[in-house]
Amino acid sequence: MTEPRLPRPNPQVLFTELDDGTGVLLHLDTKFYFTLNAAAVIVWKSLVESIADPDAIAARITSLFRVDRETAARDVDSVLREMLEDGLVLPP
Amino acid sequence: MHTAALHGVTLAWTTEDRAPDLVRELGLDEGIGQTDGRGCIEIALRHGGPSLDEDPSVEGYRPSFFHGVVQAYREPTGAPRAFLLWDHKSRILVPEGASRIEAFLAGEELVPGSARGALEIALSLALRAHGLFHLHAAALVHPKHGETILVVGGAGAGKTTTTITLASAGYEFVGDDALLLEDNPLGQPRLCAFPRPFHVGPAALSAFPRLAPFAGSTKSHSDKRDVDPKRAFPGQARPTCLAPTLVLYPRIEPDQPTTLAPLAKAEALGHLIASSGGLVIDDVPGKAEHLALLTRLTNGARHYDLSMGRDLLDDPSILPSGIDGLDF
Repeated sequence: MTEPRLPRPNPQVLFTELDDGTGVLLHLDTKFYFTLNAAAVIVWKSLVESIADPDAIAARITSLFRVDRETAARDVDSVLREMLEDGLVLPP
Repeated sequence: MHTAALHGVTLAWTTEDRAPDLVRELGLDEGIGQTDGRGCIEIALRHGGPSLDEDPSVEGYRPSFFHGVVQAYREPTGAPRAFLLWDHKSRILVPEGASRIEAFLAGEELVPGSARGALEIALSLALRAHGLFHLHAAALVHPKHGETILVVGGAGAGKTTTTITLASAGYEFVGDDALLLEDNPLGQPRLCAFPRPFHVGPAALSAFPRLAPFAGSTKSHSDKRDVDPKRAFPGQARPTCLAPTLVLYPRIEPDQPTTLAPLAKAEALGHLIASSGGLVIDDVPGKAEHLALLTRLTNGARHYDLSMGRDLLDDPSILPSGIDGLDF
């Protein structure tokens, strides 16, 4: 069985985490910035740490926020899809 | 050679061949802020050669960014790293890491002030290496408790109207449109003034008629008029202030009542990034330090959207009262 592979952070993107757990991504090529809620920050940091399994990221979110596993998994999928569309992450 | 202080950086400039003294035209010749501690930037202003109006890209310079009529280029491939600013008449070279600016000036400008604007951009690029980062924002100091209020927004957002409204209520001010954000790893960041007249639109002038005697003539390319803030608000100009505890993000909504509404920190940082043009220039040095500074500034303040209605011009006291009702 092969491990699920996840996108990797685009090196042309700067990440900043704020003290309320939210964050901002700045895409240096497009010059656009993207705000991240606290769960999306966890997704980004997991990608940086090369966590390759979306379920593991969802589990992290479930352990930190009051959200069930199914909702967390759906959110992770949605965040990853949007980050890919915006070029913030690169395809695996 | 002339010298003047700019927040710890010594500006040392020469004018040759009767070239215009653009440093003086920028109002920097009197000096502002602390006198040393951040090194020196040499500026050579001289009349240039006949080919100044030729597009630098013909010589291999690579387009980088533009601001108004000023186009910025990077060095030709293989040449020493540098920015070149061009207002279609004059050229200003900013070699990277050299703390030197070389201006080759034509006798004319594409629009009035374009060469001066190019030098201001050149200076903001050179100042990054000295820990001073340009921020498109206004800053004021509360007259009672001395807390700093930063006002962030793009052109036409209402920074000057906010500044005039609060200065008229007794606030001290550092600037209405352009500031330098000072990196100070050992302490709080500071906001530093970059001397400039206030650019006041007709609606604000009409709401504050006492400013009319201090207003210059209308420009051909704008309905705004220059107001000398030191004459209009004597004793209220400050060279620096501490990092803000409150940041306002104004926008003009004439048909709505004036309101203040909390803004999430991530949105606030996004606005600050959008008001920090130097941060997104390709290959500009100091990006990580600059972003870290904006992050510290965001974390240290509360942030509010300021929707400004016509009612504010009828009763300017709405804004200072509203601010005093906030928790910051």
